[in-house]
Amino acid sequence: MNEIGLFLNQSPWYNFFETTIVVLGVAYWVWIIKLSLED
Amino acid sequence: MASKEWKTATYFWFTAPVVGLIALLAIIFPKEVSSGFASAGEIIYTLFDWFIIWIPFAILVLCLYLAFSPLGKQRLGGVDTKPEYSLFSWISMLFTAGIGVGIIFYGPLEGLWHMTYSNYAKLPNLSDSEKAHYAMSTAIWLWGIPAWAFYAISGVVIAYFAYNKKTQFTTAAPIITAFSNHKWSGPISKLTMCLTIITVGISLASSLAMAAGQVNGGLRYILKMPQLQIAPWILLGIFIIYSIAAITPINKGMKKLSDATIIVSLILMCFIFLIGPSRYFMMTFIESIGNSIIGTVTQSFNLFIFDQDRYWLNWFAMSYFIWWIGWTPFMGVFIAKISKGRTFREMILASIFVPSGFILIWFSVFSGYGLLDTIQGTGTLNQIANGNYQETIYALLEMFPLSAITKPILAVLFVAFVVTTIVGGCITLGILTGDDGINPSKPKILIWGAFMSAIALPFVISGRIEGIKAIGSLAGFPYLFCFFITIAALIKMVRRDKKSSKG
Repeated sequence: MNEIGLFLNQSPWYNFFETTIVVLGVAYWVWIIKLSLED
Repeated sequence: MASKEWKTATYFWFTAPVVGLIALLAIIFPKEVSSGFASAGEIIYTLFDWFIIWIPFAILVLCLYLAFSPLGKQRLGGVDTKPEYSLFSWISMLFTAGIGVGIIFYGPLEGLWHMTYSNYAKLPNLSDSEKAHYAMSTAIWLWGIPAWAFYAISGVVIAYFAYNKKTQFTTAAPIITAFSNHKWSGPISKLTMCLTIITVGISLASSLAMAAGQVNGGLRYILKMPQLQIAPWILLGIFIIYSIAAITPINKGMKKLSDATIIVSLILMCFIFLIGPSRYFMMTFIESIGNSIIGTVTQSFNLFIFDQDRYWLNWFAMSYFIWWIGWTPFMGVFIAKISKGRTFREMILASIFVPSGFILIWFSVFSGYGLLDTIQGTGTLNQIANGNYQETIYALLEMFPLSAITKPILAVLFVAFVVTTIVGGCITLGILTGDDGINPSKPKILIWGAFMSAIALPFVISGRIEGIKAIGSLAGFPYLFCFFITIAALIKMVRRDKKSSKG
């Protein structure tokens, strides 16, 4: 892990940041599936 | 629908300043840009590993579904369209699509690096032969079938819309055609086009950085001058050559030069295969076929969750997969343009298995020899691969007869490969951002060419492999999100075609 990575890991905001990415990532896949299935 | 599309020249004003700014920063702050790209890469790979690792497998499954379902009989250009190229010419073109500066650069290194860094090779109580087995399996997984599934699906998307829906050969066309009922389709298709241009512009810089480093490494090794560091001057030389080639009638000869580089590469590989331990190469090849089938399934879902060491996962699996997606617009258009009149089934199966079959052979020979030298030989190649890695392939050639001839040929081959690739890339960008979208604009060709060399400069100076991987893959990361919208566009339209044919 480099310096920025360490900073992010130690930051109290890191968990929030990581969770936001997970939620957005999952939402993105759901959106892609919805687009694929639309008529 | 037409009002939603921009003129090609407009894209230049949205993309050139972004790439130009990165190029300017690269010249003024080479050290900071090199380490900045590497740091940004590490953060993105870490945060998105769960998002990315399984994607190649999912794309492969989608490709196989399209190929073997009744949709596979769908012909590009309509039921009566005859293929433009004979089966032999078409297969030959797909075969040569697998050859580039990348596989020559990484061919001997991949096996050795995976043996050293891979989390698989670090599993406890493994013998050297088991480590080598994992190393080879990993190299084939990263470079083989999953990578080519990306290019195949990209080719199918672009070809389907271009031939069956009469659109342009662009990544924006599928989105604007399939989702014209959504307000976002206009802005998103423009964003996709901008990201395609930026991705192609920046990721080609990684090929330049690789080639300049490899030529410098070759000269260092051939001339026995360990301190020789003239890579920036080599980059300048390559820049002058490709700039002249791209804007003068010489560019008409690029096809011949490209064919010649491919033939010389094949001769080189056959030479090593026949002079070297041919039976061992065949054994490695046969074992790799099995590994590429089994490894594609098992390795695509392994994130080494409780392993603290993320280096290999970040800088090999993650960076490569994003890198491959960054190349999809370039490869997809190439595959689409030569595949008119082919069915989905033919196109998917051939564009996955022909180039990945070639890569299997190439890696069996070059990575295979590196591993053989590590386990049963001197171990020299492994030492070089983990030090002055750019000299590895020259050291490998030195272990064979006629190396006084083959080593300089290889150095020239790197220059020829990168010149043909960059000239092709600059002309493509010149067309995509030109005045009429058909003829390349010469000033813009020169501007894109200059940006690529400027971006490559800090990575050529530092020589850090992480930097080279980072430029290639980071450029592709934002495009990744648009790539899947184009695939959704394909799925939506083929489902609609299926319904209308039933109705």
